Amino acid sequence: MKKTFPVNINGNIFYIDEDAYKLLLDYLSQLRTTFTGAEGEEIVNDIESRISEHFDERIRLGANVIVLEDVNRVIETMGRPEELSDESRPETDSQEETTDSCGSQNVPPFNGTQACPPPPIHKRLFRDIRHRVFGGVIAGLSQYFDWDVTVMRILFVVLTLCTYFWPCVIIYLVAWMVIPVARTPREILEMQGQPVTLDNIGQTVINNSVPPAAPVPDTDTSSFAYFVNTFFSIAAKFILGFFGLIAAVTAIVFCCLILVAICGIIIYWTSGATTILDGLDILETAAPYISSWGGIAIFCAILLPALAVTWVASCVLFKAKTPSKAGIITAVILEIIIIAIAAVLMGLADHYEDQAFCLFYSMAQPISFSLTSSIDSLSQVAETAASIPSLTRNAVIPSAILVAPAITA
Amino acid sequence: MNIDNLKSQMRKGMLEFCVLLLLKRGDAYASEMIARLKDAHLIVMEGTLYPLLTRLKNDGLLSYRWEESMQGPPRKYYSITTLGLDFLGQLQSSWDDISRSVNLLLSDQTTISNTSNITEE
Repeated sequence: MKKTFPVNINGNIFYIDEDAYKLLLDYLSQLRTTFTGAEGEEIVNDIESRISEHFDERIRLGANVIVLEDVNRVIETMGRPEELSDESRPETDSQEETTDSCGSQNVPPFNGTQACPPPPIHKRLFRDIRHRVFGGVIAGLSQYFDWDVTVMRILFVVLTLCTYFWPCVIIYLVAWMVIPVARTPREILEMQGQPVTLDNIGQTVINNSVPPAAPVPDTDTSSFAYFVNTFFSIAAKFILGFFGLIAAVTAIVFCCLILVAICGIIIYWTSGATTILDGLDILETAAPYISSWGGIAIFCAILLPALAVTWVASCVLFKAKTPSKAGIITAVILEIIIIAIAAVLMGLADHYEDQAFCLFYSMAQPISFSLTSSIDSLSQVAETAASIPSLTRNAVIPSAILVAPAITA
Repeated sequence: MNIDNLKSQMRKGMLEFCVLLLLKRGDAYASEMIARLKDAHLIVMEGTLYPLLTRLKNDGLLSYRWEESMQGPPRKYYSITTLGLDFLGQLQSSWDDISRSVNLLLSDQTTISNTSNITEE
């Protein structure tokens, strides 16, 4: 059983088997590479109409479908592209035999894969970013040496480990910089060591457009693939990122300064107002904590613009999704509320504790707190990690012994 | 010396001449020409005719028109131009010359072989 297509050859409709169709398509496209230009187009069209007549004859004789054999016979009758191209160039050797020895020609039968006329194969080293892990260096090398890419990757990893990591990494990065990437179909063919014919180029284009595993290089500017594409672009991004970081830090410092200034102004203005709350005992007892909470509020007030700056930087660098208008408005309102809370809290703390450096003291407090706590938690993690072997022995194995029968049951 | 090459060269030179001769007798479309040339054992592969026709047409020796056919799509009918007729005339006279010369030599051969046969006897 075979799949059949209806095809339109020169205005006639034929039903043709899938394999026959492919062979015919190959034949015609090879004719197109043999006969080029407007003249070639005309020749191929004429040949196509003749093929249509042959098929028509075949159908009239009783066939329902054009099969592979019919196509082969037609190709034999019309002549293989390389023979026809010799005909059009009288100075080259012709393979045409005497008129009555048609069947005895010892040229191999036409098959779709052979290219004609075969140009000298010119293999070049490219990075193969269609099959890359990082920069496609190994993939490109495996194409160049015709080795299996997985074997080569494993070898490279082993070599990297054997040479204590850095030499191979540096070599890889240099190769990444030096070896160009195969972008055009022609370069891809050269990388694969295939002859650059129109047919092959067409095939490459088709292949590239179909598989989901092959991102189209360089055309999608928004994706991560674009970002990883070349080493130079990465280096540039790193430099940009560095400057972005400096800009972000500067921005954060500015934010702090502005915040402190705003807080100062608000404290100054509201210091009278806070006295209204004097009579509340609850605030009196809570006073030592107020400065801490105020510090956290200030920390949040700093964090928000810092995040905003980072986001903007990542929008520019990595083409991340830009924030929506509603998001920006919400962030601004949130920021104002946080500043107001911080101001009120710090004003209260200032009022109750009456410390000149209350603001700075309470700012430093949560930071030192988080530092010591993180060190604590780190040491805890380390202790837990150290106790894991005994833990497994004591807890996991017995529980496994308990659970295993339950599972098997 | 490649005998196949020489043979195909000879045939190739003849083919254009024969196509022009065919068209002098009347307009024809490619498949008719193929049929006649095949009858005359002048071509093996049909594809060889098409580049030739296009070349002759581009050189102004032939022209073509589209004509409806009873069966199938319209056909390309070729006809010979006046330039083509001139060209054919020149080819014809040169062919006459060549065939005369070759025939002369061929007849010489036969007479020589005949005489040699006679002397041997």
